[in-house]
Amino acid sequence: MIDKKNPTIVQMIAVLLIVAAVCSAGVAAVYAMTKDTIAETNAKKLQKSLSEVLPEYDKTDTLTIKTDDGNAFCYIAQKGGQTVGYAIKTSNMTGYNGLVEVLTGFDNDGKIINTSATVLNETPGLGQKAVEPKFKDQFKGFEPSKKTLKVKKDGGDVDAISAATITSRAYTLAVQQAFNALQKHLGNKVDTNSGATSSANKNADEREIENDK
Amino acid sequence: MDYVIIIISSIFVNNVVLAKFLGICPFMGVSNKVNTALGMSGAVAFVMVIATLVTFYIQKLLVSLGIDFMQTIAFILVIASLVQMVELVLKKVSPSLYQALGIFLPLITTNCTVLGVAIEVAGKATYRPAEAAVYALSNAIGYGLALTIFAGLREQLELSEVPEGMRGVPIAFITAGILAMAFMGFAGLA
Amino acid sequence: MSSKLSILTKGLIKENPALILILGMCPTLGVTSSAINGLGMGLATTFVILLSNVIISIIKNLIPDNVHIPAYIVVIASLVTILQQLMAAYLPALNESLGLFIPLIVVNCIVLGRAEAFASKNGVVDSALDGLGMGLGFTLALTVLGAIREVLGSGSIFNLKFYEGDGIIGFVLAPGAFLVLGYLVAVTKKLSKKLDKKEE
Repeated sequence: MIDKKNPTIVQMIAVLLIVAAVCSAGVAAVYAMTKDTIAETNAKKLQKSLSEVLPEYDKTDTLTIKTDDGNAFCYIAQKGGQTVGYAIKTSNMTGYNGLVEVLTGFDNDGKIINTSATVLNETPGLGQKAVEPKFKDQFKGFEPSKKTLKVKKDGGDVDAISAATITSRAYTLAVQQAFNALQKHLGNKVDTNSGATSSANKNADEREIENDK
Repeated sequence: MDYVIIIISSIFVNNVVLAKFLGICPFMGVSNKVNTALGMSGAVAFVMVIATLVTFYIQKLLVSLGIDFMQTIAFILVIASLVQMVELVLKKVSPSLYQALGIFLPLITTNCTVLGVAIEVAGKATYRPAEAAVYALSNAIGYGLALTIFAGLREQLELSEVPEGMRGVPIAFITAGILAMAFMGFAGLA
Repeated sequence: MSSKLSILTKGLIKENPALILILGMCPTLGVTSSAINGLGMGLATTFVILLSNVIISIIKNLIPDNVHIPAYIVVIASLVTILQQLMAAYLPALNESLGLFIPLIVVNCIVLGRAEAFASKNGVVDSALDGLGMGLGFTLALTVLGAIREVLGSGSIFNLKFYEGDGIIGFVLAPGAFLVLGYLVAVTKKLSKKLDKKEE
């Protein structure tokens, strides 16, 4: 048996190895068990957010749009082969507690349908109010091409949450990033040629886009 | 990412102790004297920067192997071994500091600042190694700042009259609360 | 029997890990902005303390003294990782609001503290009771702290709003955590002194 007070080096290494092996096996087993459930939970969550910010659709294509301020993950909603809207996930680190990730839904005219925070760990009772309708609903129908996506304090058209300007700024910035990505994807056509997101345009831009599939 | 923003926000705005509540145990334990507080901060800074850099690459390795669910286990083992190394080095280089930090040096392992910052950095996919190091260092400075200020306050506190029930830990927490309020004033900087 | 019961109950007030022993302060302050979060964090920690106490009391005789700390840490870290996965799968909302503090259970001094001070010297049943008691004491402290902060700061309790409009925001933020904890520690000290006197 093992001498507890004066173990040999071999004994020490063996014990640690066995402990580590058994523990890793346990962790791996639980990982295998929960992997599918976690994936399912995450997929459900994403579906819920997507359905909040997009019109009715029957399938989505995904692609990553590279912009100056990081990658934007884009879901192109389609119904009967027609593109009906874009949901773009963008994030930045400027929230009060760092990461803020927002899913912004646009219609074909580049008008915002709705927004949904996918990662928001702000202070409860302050920044966390960004998930409440009072703040969120002002983005519904917001036209970034005509109005400015900035809080009023910074000369924009967004009402900040009282006492939580930092969160409001971060959230608004994420929405602006989404709009920038959309503009890049559509080749700036939304401004001048409202509604005409012709497929020619899209194809022309496809080369710049790293398709995710 | 702008280094200045990282530095200012992690030292003042999102201070690791007073806003993120990491490393409170040693914050209460070693903050009786300014000297001890400084020593502890130095040790934490050293361990934190190395640990964050090492775990930064380990995270990349874990992700590439597809086993990033092992993150917590891998990180804590790296940090635990690093702390042992620091302990050995300190014992040789500065025995007096080693004496002063006593029991708290091994406890850096269970100081959530180090693991917390390592996990935070691992979660920031866009960070480059230099940014990770700056982030770790400025968090360590923020930690040292809070610890040292608090130690100074507590040295004064020992001389003042406090109602019996509030003596010791309770009044220390109240003081920390007021200090946290003061640090909230920095929020405007970000 | 009474000794078994006292092992279980001592963690609640007399040796409450958070309020008397002042251990595990990071989650105590960090997640208690609402009662639900406090309760969730407390139960998550209880899960880890209970299991780590049981496992360590089983394997204590197989581990040489000079490598026992790394061995214990591996056990605890594995339990925390298992907990992380279970929570991500079945309690995603709570998992998100507790965030960083779930992996940080690894470095919660209570867990290693109990393993070292109790489980490595006692039998399986006693260690389980000790882990359960300490965990529940921690849960109690976190829930009370969370409830007080939520009532004052958000005007609600367990997410049930009883006061329309904003609460005293300071209590939800960092300073409120320190202040409420300070007073709570003072009150608990007083209570535990009273209990001691009664026993005499």
